[in-house]
Amino acid sequence: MSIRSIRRVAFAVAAAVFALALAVPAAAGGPAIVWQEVSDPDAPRLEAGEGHVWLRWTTDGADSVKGFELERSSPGLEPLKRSFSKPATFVTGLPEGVTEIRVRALGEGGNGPWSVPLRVTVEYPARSLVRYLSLLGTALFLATAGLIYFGHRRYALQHKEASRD
Amino acid sequence: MIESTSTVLSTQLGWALLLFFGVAWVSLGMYWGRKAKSLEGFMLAGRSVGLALGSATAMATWVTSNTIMLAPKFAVQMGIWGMLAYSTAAFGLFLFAPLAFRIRRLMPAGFTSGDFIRLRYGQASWVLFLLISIVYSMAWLVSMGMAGGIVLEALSGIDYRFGMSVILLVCVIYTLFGGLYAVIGTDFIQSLIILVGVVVVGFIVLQQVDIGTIYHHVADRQPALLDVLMPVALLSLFNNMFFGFGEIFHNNVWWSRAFAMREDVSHRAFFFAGLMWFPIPVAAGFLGLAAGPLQINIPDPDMVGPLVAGQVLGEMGAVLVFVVVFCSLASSIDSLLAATSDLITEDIYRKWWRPEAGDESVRRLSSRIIVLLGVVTWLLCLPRFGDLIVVLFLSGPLVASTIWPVAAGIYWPHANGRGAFLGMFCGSTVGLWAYFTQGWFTASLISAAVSAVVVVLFALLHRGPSFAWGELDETSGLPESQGPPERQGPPERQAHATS
Repeated sequence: MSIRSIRRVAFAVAAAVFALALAVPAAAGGPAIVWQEVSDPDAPRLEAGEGHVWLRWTTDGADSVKGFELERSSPGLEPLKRSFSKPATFVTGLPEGVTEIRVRALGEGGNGPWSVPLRVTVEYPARSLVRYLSLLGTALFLATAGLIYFGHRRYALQHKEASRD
Repeated sequence: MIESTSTVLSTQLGWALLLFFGVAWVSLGMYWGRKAKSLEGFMLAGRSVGLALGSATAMATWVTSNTIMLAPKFAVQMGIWGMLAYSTAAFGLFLFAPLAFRIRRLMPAGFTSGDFIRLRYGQASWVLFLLISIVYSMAWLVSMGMAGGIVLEALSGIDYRFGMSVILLVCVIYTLFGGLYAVIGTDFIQSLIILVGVVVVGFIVLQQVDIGTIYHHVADRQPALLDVLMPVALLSLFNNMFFGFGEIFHNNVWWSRAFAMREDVSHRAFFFAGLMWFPIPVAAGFLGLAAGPLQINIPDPDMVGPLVAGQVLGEMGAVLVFVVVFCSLASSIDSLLAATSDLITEDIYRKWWRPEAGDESVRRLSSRIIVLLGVVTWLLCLPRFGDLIVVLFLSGPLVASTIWPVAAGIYWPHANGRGAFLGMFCGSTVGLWAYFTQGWFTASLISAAVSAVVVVLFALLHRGPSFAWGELDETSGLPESQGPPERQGPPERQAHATS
């Protein structure tokens, strides 16, 4: 094959790839999603130290939107919520580590493209801190209940004796 | 399921319900309040409240809008532990039952929780205690005013500002005219409506989705919520419990009820109130857990309960939730208005500013303070700032620091003013630090622990005479000791030692 033929084939492949790249969003048809209240809109991230996040987003052409669909990686992609109408949702019970969440609009003219994945980092408090505080809480509860129980017993007896006299 | 973007109830129906219950509470409050002729009648309902009214008022006051809105949010966020964490607030009522018995004995003529701290620990602790109590009461009032406006808007589309304003106005009017008589009377009806409403909503939701389905859905989609060692959930269990202890032990809402009840019923009334209250957050939390299996999207975490009830039960369910939330709001706002006004009038005006003031002028001022509290709460609610949980839990470390000063002060004659002051100060400071650095779910626990250590250390190191319990009875004038006789000193030395 001559160099000219190779160039022709390469040009044709590049043109096809370019056309495909343009065609995919066009085929999606629906409005695009923009995450709200995230640190970097191009590579959106959120911290969720307690395992839950409140997600909000906007869409262009919101009038044609019938609903939204949410997916998350866990570890593969799985649907999280389907067909809800408001551009916000509260996701809870996330595992420790990084979970990626993406959303797309469902419209009458077809579904929109998936949003840029939002990386949610969940880092729970250290287990050692939880252990110490749980022990502290148990001890403090027993001490408080003990103070009231023994205090009540002591003075209730005195009150009884006083009223008998 | 694609939920409708419109509200479950029509705005007209929302207004009709709001006006109906508003007029009913004002009329009933004014009717019951006819008896509030004297200052003691206005502030403490004549100190003769019986078991049924006493239990109902304590239960209804503790069912706040936060119970209906935060308990489902806790369940959605933290699963079963979250639901139980909210329920631990009932333990505060259980433990306050014996305290109420002793409070009533020690202070047969007492008016406020501030009276106790002043007489027991002296002025420095009293000022700090008043500051904590007023900050907390305002935070509670504002969180409820905001919750009222948000719920009414979400359920019926009534504008937040109008809904919040009407609820506050209704509560101010009937508290103003009827005092604690009106508060306790309306609380009784409201507690019945709340109990029936919550049971009916829970029962109908159970018909729609069974517990097995909920379990499998959560295990499949949100396994972290079933983790017994889920860190935040486990810590929130203790944190919420000590927050609840602090709220009940220190706040004049509960002390005024202890003073208002007959001596022989106060402890039983608080215990029964705890028993009746315990299942309510569980039932409300169940709504939160059912959201996932029922495919209901939660666009706003503060609205989990009303949203699920409205979606599942339709218009009737929404009416029920509307009425239950309105009752729970009214039963708590009226109590807070009355008790906080008593605290300011009795402690600041009568005990500090004008000790010579007569009952009539105190009563007049009490009414003005109720109006002023209503106006200040309204102004703070207007901007609708922040998350409900932030407003509420920020005051957690403050009130948790009062648990040991109050409990030890009631039973332990060696507990003293220095320990109480430093306990509240150090507990609040360290607790607030924990709130901002470790998370809200550690703050109340750490505050209560620091305060307990300080109070106990100072009591153990105390070398002076013990406190004479008789000093708490301002009518007797003579210290009548119920503590160990060998530790008694002359009254002037005791006063010096505890100042």
